[in-house]
Amino acid sequence: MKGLLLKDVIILREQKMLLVLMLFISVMMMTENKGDISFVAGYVILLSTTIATSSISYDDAGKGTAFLFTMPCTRRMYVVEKYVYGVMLSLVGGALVLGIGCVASLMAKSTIHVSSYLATVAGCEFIGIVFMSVMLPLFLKYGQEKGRIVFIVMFFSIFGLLILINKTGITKNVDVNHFLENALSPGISWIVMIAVSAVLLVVSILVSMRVMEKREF
Amino acid sequence: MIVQMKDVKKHYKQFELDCTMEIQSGRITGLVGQNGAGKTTAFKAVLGLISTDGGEITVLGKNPSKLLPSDKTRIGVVLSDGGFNEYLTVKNVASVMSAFYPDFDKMNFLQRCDRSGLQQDKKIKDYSSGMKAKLKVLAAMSHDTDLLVLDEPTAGLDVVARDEILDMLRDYMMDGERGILISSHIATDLEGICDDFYMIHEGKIVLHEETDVLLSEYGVLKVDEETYAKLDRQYISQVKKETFGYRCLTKNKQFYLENYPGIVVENGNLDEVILMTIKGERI
Repeated sequence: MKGLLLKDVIILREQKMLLVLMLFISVMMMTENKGDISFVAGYVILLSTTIATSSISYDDAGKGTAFLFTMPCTRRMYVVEKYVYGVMLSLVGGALVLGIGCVASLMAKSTIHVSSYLATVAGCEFIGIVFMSVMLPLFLKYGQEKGRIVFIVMFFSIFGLLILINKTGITKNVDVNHFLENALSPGISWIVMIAVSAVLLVVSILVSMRVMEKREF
Repeated sequence: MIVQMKDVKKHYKQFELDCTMEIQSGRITGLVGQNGAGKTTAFKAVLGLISTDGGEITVLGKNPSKLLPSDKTRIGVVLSDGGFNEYLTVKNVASVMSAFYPDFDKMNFLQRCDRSGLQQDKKIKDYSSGMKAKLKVLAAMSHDTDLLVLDEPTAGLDVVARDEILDMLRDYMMDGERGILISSHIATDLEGICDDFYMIHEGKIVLHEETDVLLSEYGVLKVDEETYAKLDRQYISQVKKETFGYRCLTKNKQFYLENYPGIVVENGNLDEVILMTIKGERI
């Protein structure tokens, strides 16, 4: 797996303009917002997971994935590496946001709310993991272009279904925000988030492994 | 036996592979055939890149799908239409190979690349097709292996580069226990290096012969209609009608040289055998 990770990290330089732009926008926005990291955290972490998922299309270019499987690399190893790479990038992105956020707060002479920052980054990491857990199996099965289309269709189908359910009036007395804010204590929320992320990742990895094992080159 | 394929079948919409083939240790085995004959499909089956619909394949004693990463370190591969990501440089390839193969000699690999004219800091996508081909072969031979599977390794190379690659393959075989499975459209390359070859046509193996036998005993007779009518055809395997009369493939040219001293008998070569096997009529 070391070889696969090294390959992906080296190819990351092809996206260096994007990374520099991301860093620049992050610094500007956090400085402007006096250290408020809420928007930037989501942006950076989602972008990090997008970079990880797009590494699949770099591999597929020039039938490189087929060649990888002639090397000491199994299909399961390949799948696991993509998730490790994605989690690694999103953690690095989160750590950068935290660091820059703290520096921006110091420069703006604002109070640094570390626990609030951590909670924001953790929330965004959770969303990043959900995104990656859905996108990776789709990209592995359909490729990047078709995978995006399938994701959009899935997303709007679920969205449409929720609107329909709402229109029936079943959810009239349900206040989701109230439930989320009051049902779980902060400590339990963390545990639930970590547990749900772990379950999502495991299910996604198993689906991806099955997709790759059936794939022919 | 390093590789064994026994009645291996693979169905596609308009193509079916049905292949039986063996690669022995200590030998270089060629696979020849037209474009679309099934060479790459056979290679992909050996490498576990496709599933099969029947038959048995063993590579280094195991089914390709059961090969562990440690087994795969013993195999070097060149694919005709795939390789390292083209955004990598030679130096990057060396680093990645070091991570994959414990016995990869990075210094030696980089020196060989230098000698072959491959700039270390240039991305593969900026190389010519010949340079890309050289890099693939150098990478496949840069770690200790028992088997090389080379699909069109000399495609795009000039005659000097091809000669260098073939010399490297001969040196590789000095060990005595290694094996090579190689395909090429350049018949002279295969004649010069292979111990035996299989010919594949429309997914089926139609000929298996020792290269020595091909070059010493096979011949092509060129005869007019009258001579053909009187010819003893017991040693003729394929016939093709030509404007001058008939072209006949024989596995025993000596018989015709001795008994028909006036007729034209050309020495057999791989290109002729391929042409006659595909375009000729079996007798």
